[in-house]
Parts: sequence; structure tokens; C-alpha cells
Amino acid sequence: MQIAAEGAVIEYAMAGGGHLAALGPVTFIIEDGTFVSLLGPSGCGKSTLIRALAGLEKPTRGSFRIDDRIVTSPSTEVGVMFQSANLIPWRTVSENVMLPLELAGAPKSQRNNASKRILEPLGLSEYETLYPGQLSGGMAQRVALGRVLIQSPDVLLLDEPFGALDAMNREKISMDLLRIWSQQRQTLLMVTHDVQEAVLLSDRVLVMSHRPGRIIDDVSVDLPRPRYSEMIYEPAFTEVARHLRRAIDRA
Amino acid sequence: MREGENCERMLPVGFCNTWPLVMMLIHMLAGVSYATASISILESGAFLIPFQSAKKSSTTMKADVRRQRQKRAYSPMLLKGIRRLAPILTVLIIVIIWQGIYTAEVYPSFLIPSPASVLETFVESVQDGILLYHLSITLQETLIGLLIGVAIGSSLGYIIANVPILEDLLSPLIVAFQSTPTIAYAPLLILWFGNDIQSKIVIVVIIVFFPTMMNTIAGLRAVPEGLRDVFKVMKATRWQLFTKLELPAALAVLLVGLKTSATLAVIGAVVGEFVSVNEGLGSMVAIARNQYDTPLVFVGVISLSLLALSLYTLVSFLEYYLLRWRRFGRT
Ligand SMILES: Nc1ncnc2c1ncn2[C@@H]1O[C@H](COP(=O)(O)OP(=O)(O)O)[C@@H](O)[C@H]1O
Ligand SMILES: [Mg+2]
Repeated sequence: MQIAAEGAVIEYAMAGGGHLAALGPVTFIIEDGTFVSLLGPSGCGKSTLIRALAGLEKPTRGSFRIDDRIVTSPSTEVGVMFQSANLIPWRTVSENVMLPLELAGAPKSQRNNASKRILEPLGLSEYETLYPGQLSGGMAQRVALGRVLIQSPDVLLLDEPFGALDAMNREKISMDLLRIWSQQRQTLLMVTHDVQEAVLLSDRVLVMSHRPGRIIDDVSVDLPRPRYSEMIYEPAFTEVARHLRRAIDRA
Repeated sequence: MREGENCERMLPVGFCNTWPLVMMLIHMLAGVSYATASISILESGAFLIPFQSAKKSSTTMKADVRRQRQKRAYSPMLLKGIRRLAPILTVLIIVIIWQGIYTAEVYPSFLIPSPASVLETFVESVQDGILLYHLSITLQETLIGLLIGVAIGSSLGYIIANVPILEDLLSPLIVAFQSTPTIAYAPLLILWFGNDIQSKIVIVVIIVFFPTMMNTIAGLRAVPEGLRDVFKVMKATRWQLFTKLELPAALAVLLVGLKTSATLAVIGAVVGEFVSVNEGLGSMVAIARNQYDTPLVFVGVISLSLLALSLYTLVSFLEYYLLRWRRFGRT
């Protein structure tokens, strides 16, 4: 599926009257099955953009599109992952992962099978019966990822999904994400503040300006796939990373 | 005791009935605080585990879980045993002091009867069915009132949490109503709803309703926006949002409040039974007091605190079971 924004602007009403321009205008098209990262200074409207594409915010002007559908409300074809895992504390790992199927009214046996199938490649099979309070940050984000993947979305919107993790965990889980994505080829838009991560995972990187965020750079990453962690030492990699670094500093 | 008689002649009946009432209240409060203290000790111990592990950001998942398993294995069994026995020990000490006061004849026996005579009266009142009869009346009033009060309180709380204007409109009324002592309007309720259990149920409902409503509102407000977003992006219906997110989230706060509500409900029923002496343990105590049957007063008071304590324990177990995830901390 294709993700697109056409002259989209989002403004928030301020307490004292008046408006705060949080985003835009932005215009872009993300082609079906591509992995795109979004970089930008904090407060520039990255989360606002993700939330709007997820159908949680409405554009003041312009529009957001997923394929031919103008986004006005959430859709089960779109999976969203937030910076915090947002797991339901009274549900076990598998009960959390099954939630989307439960809401869709899938029978219990089907939910159980799907949960097992999802948890296995995420390395969570052993932890099915634990409660979120018992999980480390990395595990919690894996569960959150599993919960998004179980509804087999065609579009993945990830808002700094691994931002709260330490470097080790972060690299492991992002490589897991890359492996899953390369098998299923969803259209994926991921917000990150890590230039190396953006380059290593993506087909294309968008850079946003200060608030109200506009797209100020659009860089294709022509590194071969499959990608692997050591690629960060290759000249082609460093060149793209340096270019992005400069773009962000100008933002 | 002439003063008491004077009092009864000169002042309205309800007023004279206040002294056992005050004693009762003090007793019940002591019972509640004791129960709260012992339970909160248990809880605080259990709460330590998730807190310690949640703060740590471990490098590997397996190590994290292993560490937690060990932590649970370390739990000091002996200490737990002592804690469980402690309440019994307290009761034993109180009985010994009581017997001491009786033997030393500090107070005449019609003020403080011997533990043996209280026990005897207890056995008698069980045998002739009086105690169980009155107990069943008070229990009925308490449980029915509790049920209705929780139902009304939580529904109204849910509505108010979703329609903020209602809160502004209703809060002065509710707060004024709530801060008026129950005893003040109890006679009015008895006038309106009669001498039977209905009026006492109404009193219990009024007492229980307010904390339940406040807890429901607090519980709903405590639902993190992030969790609501998760349900929204999964296209949950309004009903699913209610049953799968709001209700369980509110339940956590509600159950904690229900523990105190359960004991408050007993107080409410007894207040009613004192104001309109008819049936129930409170009335039994009031009648026994008028006849200077002090052992029966003791039996009534002890039965009442046992009733309150049982209800409290019941709700605690319910909470322990329903909120078992809490023992593993929060996200
Ligand atoms: N619900 C809201 N109401 C008002 N202002 C908001 C709201 N959400 C975000 N903003 C503002 O919009 C801007 C962009 O926010 P956000 O999208 O969260 O930035 P980013 O994710 O890039 O750090 C910020 O200035 C923020 O304060
Ligand atoms: Mg953000």
C-alpha cells in the first residue's frame, strides 16, 4: 500500500486562543513495500504526522492518503507502534499480543495459534504467561511489535519504537524488525532520531525541518539488501550518514 | 445510672442512643485501621518486587527473568508465618488484659463483664438463634446496600467521568450531602422509608455510593491516554473500550475503595439500627444496653467487628485474585 500526504497541515488550538502550527505543509509519497525513516529535531511534528496517518489526528488543511483512502479514522490495515510499549498491565504477554484479534472477534483457538506464531520469531515464546510488569524494556517493545504484527497490517507506522532502549537491545530488535519486514514487505514508516539506524534499515530517509515540520531532504539509500550491522563501516554507508547529519544540522 | 434515665426522659430518644453509637464507631474505626495496617504490610512487601525489577534496565531478557525467579524464592517463609500468627497473638493479649481488669475488679462487672460470661452469653445467643437472626438482618442490610451503592456509585461515576459538565453541576450537591454526618439525616430516612430494613439499606447505599463514585472517576481518569490510543488504532468499538480497558482499569481503583466501603456499609447499617431500634445487631446492642445486659452488648459489638472484618477480608481476597497482575508491577 502507498502512503501519501498532500499539502497536509496540522494546527492545534492553543489555550489562549490562536493556533499552534505543529506540522507542515508536507507533501510526499511513500511507495508500496518500501522502508522509509523519518528524521527531524524534537518537537518538529514527527509524532503528529504518525498520529495523523494512523487516523488519530485530522489535518487542518490538505490530506493524508493510504492507497486511495483519504485517512479520516484508524484502519486495521495500518499497524501503529508508539514510543512506549503501551501494554495492558493486567494482560499477560500472549493476551496482549492477541488483543487485536480479540477486538476483531476471532475465535479463541485462532487467537492462540496466531499468538504462538507471532511470539516465536520475536523470541518471546518462553514469556507468554508473564505480565508486562515482569518484562524488561526490550521485551516489552517486542511484545508491542508482536501485537502490531498479529493483525498482518499492510502499513506499519512506528514512532520511535526503540527510542527508550539501550544500544545493545536497540540493535538486536531493529535487526529483528528488518528480518520480519524483508519477509512480509509492508510499507513501513519509522520515526527515529538515530541516523545510523535510519540508514542501516531504510530504502529512503526523509528529514524534517523545525516546527512546523516540512520535508527538507529526501535521500535514497542505495545499499544492497540484505543489510547487516557491519555495513555501518562501509564508505557508501558513511557517505549517506554524513549527508543526513548535515541536513539535520541545517534543519 | 440515674443520669442515663434523666437523659432519656428529657431529651429525644435518638440522642440518648448516641453513646453506644460513639463507642461502636470508635470500635469499628479501630477494627478498620487494624485490618488496613495488617493488610498494607502484606501488600508493601509484595509491591517491592516489581519496583526493584522495573527500575533496572537489563541487557538480556533471560537474565532478567532468572533474577526475578530467584527473588521470589528468597521470600522469607518464617517471617510470613509470624505475620500470619500476629493477629491471633494480639487478640490473646487483649483477652488476658481484659481478664486481668476483671479479676482486679477495677470496674464493676456490669460495666466490664468477664470474658467467660461473654463467651457464655455468646454460646447462649447462638443456641437460641438470636445472634444469627440479628446477624442475618445486619448482613442483609449491609450486602444489599453495598450492592446497590456500588452499582449506583460506579454508574454515576462513569457518566460523570465522560461528561465533565455534570461534575461541575453535581459536585457541590454531592460534597454537601457527603459531608453531612449520616446520623444527622438518618432519622429523616427512617421517617421516609420506615422502621424495617429498607431505611437501613438506604443509609448504607448513601454511605457507600460516594466513595465508589469518586473511585470510579479516579480509576477512569487514571487510564493512560497511550492505552486509549492503542485501542483506537485497533478500531475498538465504544463497548470494547469500556469492557476491555475502562472497566478493568477502574476495577483496580474500585476494589481498593470497596475494602473501606464494605466496613463503612456495616457502620451505616448499625447507625440505622441504633436510630430506629428494631432488628439487627445494632438494635440487639441497643436493647441489651437498655437492659444492662452488658455481656450481650459485648457479644453484639464483637460480632459486628467480626462481620466488618470478614467483609474486609473477603474483598481483600477478591482484590488479591482479580488484581494479581499488580503484584508484578506496572508498565
Ligand atoms: N495535543 C496537542 N495539543 C497541542 N499541541 C501539541 C499536541 N501534540 C503535540 N503538540 C505540539 O506540536 C508540536 C509537535 O509535536 P510532536 O509531533 O510530538 O513532535 P515530535 O514527535 O517531532 O517530537 C510540538 O510543539 C508539540 O508541543
Ligand atoms: Mg515524538
